[in-house]
Amino acid sequence: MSPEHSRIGSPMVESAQIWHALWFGASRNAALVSLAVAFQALAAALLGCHLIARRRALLSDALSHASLPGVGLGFLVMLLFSDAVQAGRDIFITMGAFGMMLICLVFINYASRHIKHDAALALALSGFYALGIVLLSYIQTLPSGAQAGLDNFILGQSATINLAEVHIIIGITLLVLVIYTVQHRQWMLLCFDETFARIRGRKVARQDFLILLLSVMAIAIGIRAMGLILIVALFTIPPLTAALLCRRWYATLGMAGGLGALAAHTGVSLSTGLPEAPSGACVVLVCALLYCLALLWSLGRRRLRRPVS
Amino acid sequence: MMVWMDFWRIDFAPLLAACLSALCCCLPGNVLLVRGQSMTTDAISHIVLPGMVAAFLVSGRLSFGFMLGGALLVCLLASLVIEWLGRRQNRDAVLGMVFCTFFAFGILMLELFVDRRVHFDVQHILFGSLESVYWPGLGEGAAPFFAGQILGAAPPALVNLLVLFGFLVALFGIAYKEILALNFDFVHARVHWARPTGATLIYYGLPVVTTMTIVVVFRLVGLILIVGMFIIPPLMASFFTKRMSRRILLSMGLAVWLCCTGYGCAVYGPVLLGHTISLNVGGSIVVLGTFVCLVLMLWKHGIGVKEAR
Repeated sequence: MSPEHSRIGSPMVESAQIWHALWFGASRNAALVSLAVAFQALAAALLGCHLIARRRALLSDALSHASLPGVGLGFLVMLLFSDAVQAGRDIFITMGAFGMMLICLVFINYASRHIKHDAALALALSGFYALGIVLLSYIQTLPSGAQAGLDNFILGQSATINLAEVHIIIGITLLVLVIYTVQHRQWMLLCFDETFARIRGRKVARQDFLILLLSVMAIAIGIRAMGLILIVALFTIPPLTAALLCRRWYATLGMAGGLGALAAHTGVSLSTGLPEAPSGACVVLVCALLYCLALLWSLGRRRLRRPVS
Repeated sequence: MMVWMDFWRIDFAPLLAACLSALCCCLPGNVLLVRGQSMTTDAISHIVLPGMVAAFLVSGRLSFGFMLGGALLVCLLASLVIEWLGRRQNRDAVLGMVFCTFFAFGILMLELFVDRRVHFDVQHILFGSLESVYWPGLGEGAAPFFAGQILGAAPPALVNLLVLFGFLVALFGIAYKEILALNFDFVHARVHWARPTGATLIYYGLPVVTTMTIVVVFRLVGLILIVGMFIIPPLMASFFTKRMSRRILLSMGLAVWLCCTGYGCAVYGPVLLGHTISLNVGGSIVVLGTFVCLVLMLWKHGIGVKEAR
């Protein structure tokens, strides 16, 4: 029983570095990474508002877990082409995660026709995640040295993101935001009055799929910094916080996006000063802190009685 | 003969641990599946982490009692928060928010305060450590299996699992009728017993039992694969029979079959293909189960489009 005795370490905290990172003064690369993650969090919060209004919050949880085998597969495909190119690696892994989440979406869609929806979600979540774990346990035995740091995709580690990945994150976020801007009126209609949207001849299933597609894209670029277990927080906490603070739909959207970006930047800056902490966990805790503040504020204003979204 | 000795020495204890874990999980899993609370297992398995880490930090060792206490306390706290906020905001989203926050908190405590050399780290929690269950003395020398000193040297994980399994079987044996009544007709059960306390006790006892199972099993199987262990055998059984009693028995049989086959695939599959590696055991069990569920769905319903039940 000797290794099970308590060995409690004290954490290393470099508060000066956190302070520098908060004001973008640490280094150019760190500032760019922080901005990119904040930008991605903004898109995730916007999409999260719609997912919550469509009662799909747990679907994004199942989808994000399903990206793990995509990470493994993307890595294996990369090994076929080239060995240990850091910039290329992350493109392959992002593509792999994206593809695997689409497969999971099809799986959930099929399974929830025949079994209960929550059972379908749980089945997809655990099954795909397990496939990812099996693939990772195979990858760990490969002779190539490039698999180091693949675990970072599970809990998130923003410190090792390089410039090429920043470009990917910003590019895909821009794409998501452009499609969002084109479609946002239709989606508002979908969220508030689905029957009316159907009567007006809108293709509801197609619009739903588009929202999910964009969410999958946002998850695929976000798992590098946030980790695939915790990224669902970016889709749930900022929208819930904004719903406490605002009443109008577009105000809620803006507030959610802003809070998500703020929390992501603060969390990433915090994790630069805590070298052992995964950045995803830091971002989630900042989000939760903002939610608690908003909750206190809305309790003071007694606005919590009204049902939200 | 050599292979047989190797089986007893290396493979028997992990296989037994996997089977017992699956058996423990599928008893509450049946009830959860019928109640439509499959995703609750996912939520609970994330939520209990900070409680267990805090219990470890306070007590200084990996004792089961402390960890169960911490886990139950945190679970109670989280369920109160979810109840309170879930009435006012979207329940699914609140669930996602709360379990992300708790999990992030647990991960952060684990990474910052617990030394990496302790057998309680993020790797074990994410990937499980069935392979590391080792039964000293078994299969070495000529001593029979049931010899006193060999039974006495059984790993504590196996003993815990056995006790839990005995407890669950006793619980289901004694309170089977009540559990059945509560699952299918809560109002009737409360009216029939005239005193709602008993009914309520069993109704809210399910999360307690689930938490207990998770606390015992999570270090072996991994926190997220537990969801599969809970859901997959009952789901497979639900394709064959609708009677609860048959379903429970069948799911227990299927769980043992799944563990044996999955373990064989993980350990002997690569050997048969000419590699000298072995894959992650818990992962391959869940992957196999998901695959079998998919085949069962295709067999029963085909690919055709049918309305959800």
